[in-house]
Amino acid sequence: MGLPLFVRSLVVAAGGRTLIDIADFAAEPGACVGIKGPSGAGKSTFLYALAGLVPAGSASGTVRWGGQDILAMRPGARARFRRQTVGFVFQDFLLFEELGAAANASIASGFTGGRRGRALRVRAEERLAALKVPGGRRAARTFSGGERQRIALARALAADPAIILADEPTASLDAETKGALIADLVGAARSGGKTLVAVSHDPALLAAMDRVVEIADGTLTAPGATAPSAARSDVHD
Amino acid sequence: MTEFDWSEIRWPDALSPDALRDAWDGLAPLTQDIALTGAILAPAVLLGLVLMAGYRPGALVGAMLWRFRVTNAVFVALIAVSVGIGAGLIAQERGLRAGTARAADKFDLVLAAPGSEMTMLMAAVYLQPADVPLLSGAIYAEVAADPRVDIAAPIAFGDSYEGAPVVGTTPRFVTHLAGTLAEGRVFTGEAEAVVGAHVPLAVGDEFEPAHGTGEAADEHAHDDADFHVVGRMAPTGSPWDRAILVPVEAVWHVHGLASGHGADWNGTVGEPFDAESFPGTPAIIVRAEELWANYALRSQFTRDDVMAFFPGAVLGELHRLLGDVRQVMSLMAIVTQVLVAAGVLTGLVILTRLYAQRLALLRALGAPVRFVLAVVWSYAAVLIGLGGLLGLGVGLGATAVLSRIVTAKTDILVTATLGWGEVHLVAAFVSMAALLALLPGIVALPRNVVAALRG
Repeated sequence: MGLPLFVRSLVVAAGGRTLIDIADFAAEPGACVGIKGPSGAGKSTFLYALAGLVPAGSASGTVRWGGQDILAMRPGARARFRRQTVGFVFQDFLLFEELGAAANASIASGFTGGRRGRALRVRAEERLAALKVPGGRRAARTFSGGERQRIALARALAADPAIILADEPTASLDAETKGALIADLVGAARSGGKTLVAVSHDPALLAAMDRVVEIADGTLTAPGATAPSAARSDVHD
Repeated sequence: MTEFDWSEIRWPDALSPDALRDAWDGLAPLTQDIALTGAILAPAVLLGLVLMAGYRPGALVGAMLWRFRVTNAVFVALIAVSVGIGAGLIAQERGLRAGTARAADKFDLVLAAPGSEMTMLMAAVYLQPADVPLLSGAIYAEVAADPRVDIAAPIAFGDSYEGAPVVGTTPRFVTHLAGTLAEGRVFTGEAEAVVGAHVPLAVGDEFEPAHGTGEAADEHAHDDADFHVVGRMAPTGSPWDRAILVPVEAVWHVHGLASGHGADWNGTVGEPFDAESFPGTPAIIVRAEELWANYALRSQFTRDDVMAFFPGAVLGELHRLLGDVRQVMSLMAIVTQVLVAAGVLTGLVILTRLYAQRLALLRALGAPVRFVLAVVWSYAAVLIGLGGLLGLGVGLGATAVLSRIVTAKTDILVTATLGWGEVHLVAAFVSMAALLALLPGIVALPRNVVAALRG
């Protein structure tokens, strides 16, 4: 089940420059939210901030997933949170090119011990099969762009995360594979009740979202920026 | 504040220092060596266990090894060559010491004219050309007549045949030096010769010695002296394997000297010699049955007109000097290996930076810092460990090649092999380098995951 997201007074700065300044943002559990905006507007920085990946000290404010403020966590706790709760899909796949599809999809099993690690490996195989990616030891670099992004999606889903964060997931794909990937990504989120936040310029992907917000010059400008009332009451708890 | 008195500690009997030392001394040497190797490697193994506990970094390590396979192969080769040459040289030095000691084994006591013991050692035992004064017949007669002496053999050198030294001596010395001959018999007449195991002459061959040795040898000075090979010695592992042994009487004769025997000599070569007719000899090899007698003889024949020395003792001095050289060689080997390790680790830092985006990806996926360290460290440790193992192989090869070269150059049989000392040296290198391999991991940790992800 997805987690609700509440963002308040989020400011990320680097080199004396404010990269994003998000006053208020929220998403319901299981919602699919698209983020659009011009290049350099701060969309990806916002996404990385939601994952707690921006360097400590460069971000201030609140990014609360459920009851946990990821910006207030220590680095180890943030890593654990990402490991257990967040699935990430990147624009250029970021696979380990020498490894096979299954090894890539279950890469987190290397640092997830015990039963959880074994379950992750099984789920990765299942996701690959569901996404129709051939398994075996064939190196990831030999797969097509669409297949590689599906491997990346299988990796993001292998830990059965409550949250999926996608950074331009269709940007490296052709028109035909884009459609399939969007269906797979959004389908996986909706069927699993996961909260999906996707940064994209792709109208097709954005059209599949429940709502779309826009970031320009680091701030939210489009409708939908305001948190739903239920979420607002939560953030003030 | 009172000082703590360690002697008052009441150790359990089984754990007292003396009991532990006794337990260690009670172990078989092989067990001690294996245990020591384990102890040397323990810090690296412990570090690896701490880093990898609960993780499975194998797939990623394999990916890094494959991705940078050419560079990795170069690193492993660099480590292997530096480790191998270092271990090989040290083993060679030990082999050379053993070889020189073995070559001098049959030479209990050497008598020569007063001078340099080292020069005489090299001349009489290792057959290196040297101009040395002669000992008189009186001295020979004195030592030969001593009841404590079993063998007193004159050694006369200075001639050669196609590079092989021709040495005049007695049949008894030939038997003492080589035991049962590999082929033929010991010489009994003046024109007969016994050749060393590696002399390119066969039993039945004839040869004419040259006067002197090396390029200065006069091939025609002894035109009238023809020798007939009647026997071949078994290998002794000494320069005597390339020597030709002839009766000392023949050496004296071809140089226009007396036979060493009286006027009524019947032509039988060897002892006894007549002091009056004894032309002189550069050295006398003496053997006494009793060890104490050798010391007494050395004392008796150390005086103004003669010196006596134990080749083993002179060799011991030389080995002490070599020991210092060995320490320098060991230090140089270690310094070389440290430099290579530093170079390789620097290279690994650069390589892991090329992998920075993937390491940042691991962090983005939630990998703990320890896991990322485990991946980079394991990768480096595999290269270092492989390099160390291959280095032992290179060391074995280098030892074999160097042994052949040294044996060919010196005729001293050097059969050096890698010993546990070299294994410990390599283990120390691997352990130290593996500990230092944590540094590339620390350097490779992404400080800014987002920046690293963006490449």
